[in-house]
Amino acid sequence: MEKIKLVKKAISGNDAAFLKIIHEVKLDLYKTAFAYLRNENDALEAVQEVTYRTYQNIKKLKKPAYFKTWIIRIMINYCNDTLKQRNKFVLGDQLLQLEGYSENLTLMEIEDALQSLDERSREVLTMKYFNDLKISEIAILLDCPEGTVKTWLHKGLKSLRDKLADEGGISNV
Amino acid sequence: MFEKEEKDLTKLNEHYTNRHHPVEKIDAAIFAGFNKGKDEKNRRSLKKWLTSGMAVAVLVLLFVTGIKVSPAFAQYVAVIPGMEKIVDMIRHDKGLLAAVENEYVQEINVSEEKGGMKVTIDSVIADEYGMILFYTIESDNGFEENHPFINLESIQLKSASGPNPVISSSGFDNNLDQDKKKYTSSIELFFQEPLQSNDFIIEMNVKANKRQNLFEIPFSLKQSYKPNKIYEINETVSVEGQKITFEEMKIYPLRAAVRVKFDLQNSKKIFEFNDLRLVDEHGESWTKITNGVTASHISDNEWVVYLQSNYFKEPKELYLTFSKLQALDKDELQVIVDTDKEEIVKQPKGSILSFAQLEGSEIAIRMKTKEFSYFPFGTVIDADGEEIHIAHGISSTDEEGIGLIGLGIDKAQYKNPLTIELNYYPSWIEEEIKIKLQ
Repeated sequence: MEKIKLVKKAISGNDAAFLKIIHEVKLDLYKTAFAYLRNENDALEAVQEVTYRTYQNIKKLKKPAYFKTWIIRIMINYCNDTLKQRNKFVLGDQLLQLEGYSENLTLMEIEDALQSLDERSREVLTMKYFNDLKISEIAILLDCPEGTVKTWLHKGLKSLRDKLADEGGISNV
Repeated sequence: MFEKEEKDLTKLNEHYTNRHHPVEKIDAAIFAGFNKGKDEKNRRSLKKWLTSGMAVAVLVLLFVTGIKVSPAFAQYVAVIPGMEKIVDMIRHDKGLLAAVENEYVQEINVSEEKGGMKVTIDSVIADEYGMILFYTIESDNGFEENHPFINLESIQLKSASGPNPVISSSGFDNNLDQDKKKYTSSIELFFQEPLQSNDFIIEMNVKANKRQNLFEIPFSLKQSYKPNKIYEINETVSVEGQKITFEEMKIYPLRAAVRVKFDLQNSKKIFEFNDLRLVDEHGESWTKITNGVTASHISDNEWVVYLQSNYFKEPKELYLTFSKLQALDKDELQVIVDTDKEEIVKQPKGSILSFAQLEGSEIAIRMKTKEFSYFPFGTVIDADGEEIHIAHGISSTDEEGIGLIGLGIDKAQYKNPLTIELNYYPSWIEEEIKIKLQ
């Protein structure tokens, strides 16, 4: 496949190929970063840092076919670390992030609920629904059986339902 | 079972997907990350260079592997604490090594602590027109994993009394190394006027862990500045009909400065001296600066070219010599590109350029040539004569040796065709030239 060839070239140190494959996933990266960090500046910083880390580590990518899942994993790790930092240092920042969402409170509630899930559940939901990865791909990425991914997905969706119910039940079935 | 939740998530995804994505900014972020990775791969340290004044400084940011030092020197280096690190930082420059070898380096060892960080000025090599400061930054708890960059945002040198030094170029590390509790590096400063004082305050604006601290460290130089050595040359040479006048050379401890003038009647524009160097009676040579400011362009036709200094040598004979110049006919200095038609309208003889499409908001041009490590493109002007903002420039070489040059330009911004000025081009004129200085 053309794409795998390109990834292989990038692994062997070809800069043009590297840029090409990053550009192919850039919106996925940005979207994931935005879903986690919820503002443009932090999402852009995340894209920059993940590009840098990917460039440094691309030689370690064993299976070129999984480039996309691999780089999204790097992004999610980065975002999780950043959120932990943020909880330590920044309080009251939430207010600023209301910007652009006032027209759509429901979405914001879903977003909030997603944010309050445990790390693993949010990770699996992000991969499945935002990055459009298959269960089999997530299983490879997380290095676990597909059944486990399904369990996490189920658990994630369930806690999402519970959280939304807690907050006034807009999404209740 | 969770149809509602799945629908919610899909809706949220659509919201993210359909949101206006700042594609330009995403591209810029990707290139910033890419460039940082590339810089680290290529060299050990990348200095950010700032220049001021009328003269345009020409920079080379190559890192050339070290120069061998004598066993006696190696021993001297080994016994003085901290000296090994300093030598590592200047290993690419013979002149600076000689300055250290001749004990023309002054220990300072003054620190300031602030916000969990400590900055120390370790030592300085200075002459009337330049200063290299070696410093160390330490952090109590290391630099956090999420924001691994310590940025030296800005620096300023002030005089403790009298007028402040006027800086013509400054080089310092912008992104310092990550994951370290201690970081040692150097700041290079050059001045427009000779230094008037021996007492200074260096202001360093250090940003780490998302906090910014201004360090103001006073220091004094005890050794007096060694006077420069001046060679009046005033000799005109001709290379393939192009007349070049060497006016004078001043040798300082930090570098040698050669003043050169090109005849206005020359048919070619000279981009660079490939191999200008000083040679003594033993054939020992001092070449161009390999990492830093290589020249100042006073105008298109008048330059000051910097060479590594042989200040601490007393040669019996000394020659200025070169054999190769990068040059192009003056009527070929522009490349015209039409990005709608995806074609190159005009280019220098030989047609080594061709249009290529790179991902992102970027135009890319292929250059068929052997290894050419210069970025050829300068100012870009569109059909309306407007200068176009270039967000970033990249160049890479593929396995067949074909270079790819990318310019990050917002497509919505300009009217075709674009005129790109050439700053460098793989075209040379050659002739052995040797001028006797002494």
